[in-house]
Amino acid sequence: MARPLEGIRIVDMSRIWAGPLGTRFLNDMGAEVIKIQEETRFTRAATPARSLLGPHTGGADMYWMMNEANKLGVGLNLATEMGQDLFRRLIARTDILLENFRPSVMERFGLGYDALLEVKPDLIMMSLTAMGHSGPERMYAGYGATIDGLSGLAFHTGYPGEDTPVRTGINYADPVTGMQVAAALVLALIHRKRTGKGQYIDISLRETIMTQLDELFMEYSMNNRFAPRLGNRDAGFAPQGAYRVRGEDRWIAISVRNDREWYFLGKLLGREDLLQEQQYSNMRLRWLNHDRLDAELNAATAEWDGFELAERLQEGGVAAMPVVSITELLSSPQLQARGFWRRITLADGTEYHYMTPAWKLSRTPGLTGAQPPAKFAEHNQEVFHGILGLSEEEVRALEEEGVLGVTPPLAEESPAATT
Amino acid sequence: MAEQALAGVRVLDLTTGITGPYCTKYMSCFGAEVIKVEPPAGDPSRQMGPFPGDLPNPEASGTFLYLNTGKQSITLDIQTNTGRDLLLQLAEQADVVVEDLEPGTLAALGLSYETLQRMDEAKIMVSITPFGQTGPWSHWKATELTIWAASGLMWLTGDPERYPLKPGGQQALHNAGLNAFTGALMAIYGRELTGLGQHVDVSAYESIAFMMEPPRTIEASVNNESRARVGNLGTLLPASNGHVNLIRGPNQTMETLAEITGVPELADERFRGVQALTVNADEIEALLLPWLLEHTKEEFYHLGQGKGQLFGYCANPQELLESPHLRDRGFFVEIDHPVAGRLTYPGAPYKMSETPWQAARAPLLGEHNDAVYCGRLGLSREDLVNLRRTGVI
Repeated sequence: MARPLEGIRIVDMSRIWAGPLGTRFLNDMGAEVIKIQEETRFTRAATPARSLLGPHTGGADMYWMMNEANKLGVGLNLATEMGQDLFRRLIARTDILLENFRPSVMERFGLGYDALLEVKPDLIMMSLTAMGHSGPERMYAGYGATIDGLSGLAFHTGYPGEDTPVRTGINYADPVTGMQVAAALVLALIHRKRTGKGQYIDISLRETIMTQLDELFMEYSMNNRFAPRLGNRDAGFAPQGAYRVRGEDRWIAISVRNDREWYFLGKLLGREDLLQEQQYSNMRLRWLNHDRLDAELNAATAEWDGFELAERLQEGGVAAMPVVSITELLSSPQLQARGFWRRITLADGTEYHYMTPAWKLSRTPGLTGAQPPAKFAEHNQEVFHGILGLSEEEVRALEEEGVLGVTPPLAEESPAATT
Repeated sequence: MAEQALAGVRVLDLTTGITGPYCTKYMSCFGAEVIKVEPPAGDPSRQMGPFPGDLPNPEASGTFLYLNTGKQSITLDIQTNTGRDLLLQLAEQADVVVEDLEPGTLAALGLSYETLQRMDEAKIMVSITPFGQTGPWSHWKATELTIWAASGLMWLTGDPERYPLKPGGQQALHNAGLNAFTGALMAIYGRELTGLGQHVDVSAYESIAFMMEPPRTIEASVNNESRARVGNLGTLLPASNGHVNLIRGPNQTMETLAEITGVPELADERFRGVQALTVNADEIEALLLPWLLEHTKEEFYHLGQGKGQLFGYCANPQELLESPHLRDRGFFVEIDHPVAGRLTYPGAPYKMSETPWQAARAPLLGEHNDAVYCGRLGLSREDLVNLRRTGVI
């Protein structure tokens, strides 16, 4: 068995990144994912519809290109009774439902968990929101970029000794939550395999990030104070930082974990003089005199090529890596050797890098090829005729009536990954 | 109490630090029995802190306490002959072995994946390393910082006029552990179906590389373009008690801003659209600041969210620990510990209706030596004394 989730069907109503990435992992491992590209006034603003109009028409379609490959796409209008009835019939043949609306939207459609259990008693259903499905802020919206602040991460990020918080350069909460989505759903599948029972899972972007900020919360819990903002430093390693190398805005990250590595670094850089200095002679002193040491190191590394210096330092067992650009990430020899990137070619010939999961399973490697993402409503026939057993004429009639979508709703200008 | 999702799964955990223990913490919280093998001096995270009252104590390190909830601790020096023998006996009794040693190290100690499979084909091994078991960098060293640098994400974070930054805390190390947990679950589910285990090879580098924002990957792939970091770009602005988070979003945001602050110019045509917001960030800031400095970040947040807008703010840990919302959800949990005392910890990453997350306190160093070596492996108390005397445990 190459794909452990073969035979599992997922109906995915999530949008943009966190949810689609989560079901993508399950799809890689063999699950069939049916993406409901719903068309209602509740969801219109957040539907990544521009993605379906062709590549490169805005940010949203690139999320689509990366996370919707190999999935089936159907257009379904849940604001109609017939649309809701078709949805229930589909759920009766589905193992997992992932929804990503604000709380109460599914209930308004008559499609809450309790109602769906009537058609599928062992359904696994997950609701993915910014804040979770309970609590006074449950109706509040958020997405990756605002979760940096709301989780405490931005508060903990910044240049040492300064008061301004710094946001990560990505919608960081989304991919982290995507991993958690996949883990929670597989936990529920394991439980269902053993007991025959489904369950309901309430996951929030904010809490998944807070579970990774233990040093911040444990420090406050223990000592009623805020853990210091250390920038690129780490109290266990000194020196540690991003240092200048040759080229405009080019840097190398270096971590020195013990005195042996410090000697190796000093010798390689031709700065034996620093090795003689009392103020840098052990980890604690290097930590205390870090600012001065950083200035010395910036001068000593500035003429080096970042990749060459990293390689030389690694020969001595020193953790070092250039701060790589995105194009350099795509050409990483390590990622190439590991087959991390695959290629997808769209109908218009556009070819792009598509990543594989960051785990390798020896018996069930999963994903072997990558199909381009579905166009809007591309699989209406395959799903409503093929799976639900409607005739092809019935499916066409429902498309004409507007119960099944055929053309994407125009997305209004909206931030990516709105939850 | 309902049966937990991983009830009955026996995990032998050879990992130390942050990444591996974060993975096995999830296994433990979702019901697996985790036996943590520590070197006789203890997991180095016992030295990391934070410590109550700043008094270093290997039983009261916040990092260790959080990452090792619910596990059992035994000590073992796997570099000794007797230690290796005991390690194999422990592996005999485990369903899943999780390790984070340099590729080849465990095999050299006699416990390769193949050895494990010869004991029983159902056994799973999870190997977590910086770069994976294969490839030209498989023996390279890495830390939290260098993984961010290698993944391209550091390229995108920080002030464009200064050096690039990594996010606060140990995000890369946690993410790699979370990713290892997800991979391990795929193998556990596969075993439920077929009775066969497998080797799960997890790379911390890949765990972070796949977090690259999709548009950045595709721009680089299709157009050979690497957009540089932009910093906060006018999205974090000071309020009376900290920073608010303004997003460069739909037009409605600006209309709401104008309404809330009573500054009608904010709804002007020239601020419409994401690009316009970026170009005019300074002008918007100047219009907003007088109102912001007279209001708290929470006022901004609740007023905007009350109007359906994606407003945010930068919360500090105290505000989060006291948040009525998080309290209502029961996010934080209190755990008592014989040395560290009663403390508040971050809790479950999600709420499962049938198979809830649970966290018992972290173990003392070697707390379960008796229970495991005598109870499980059948050693006598005398053997245990000898092992202790010879430094094996």
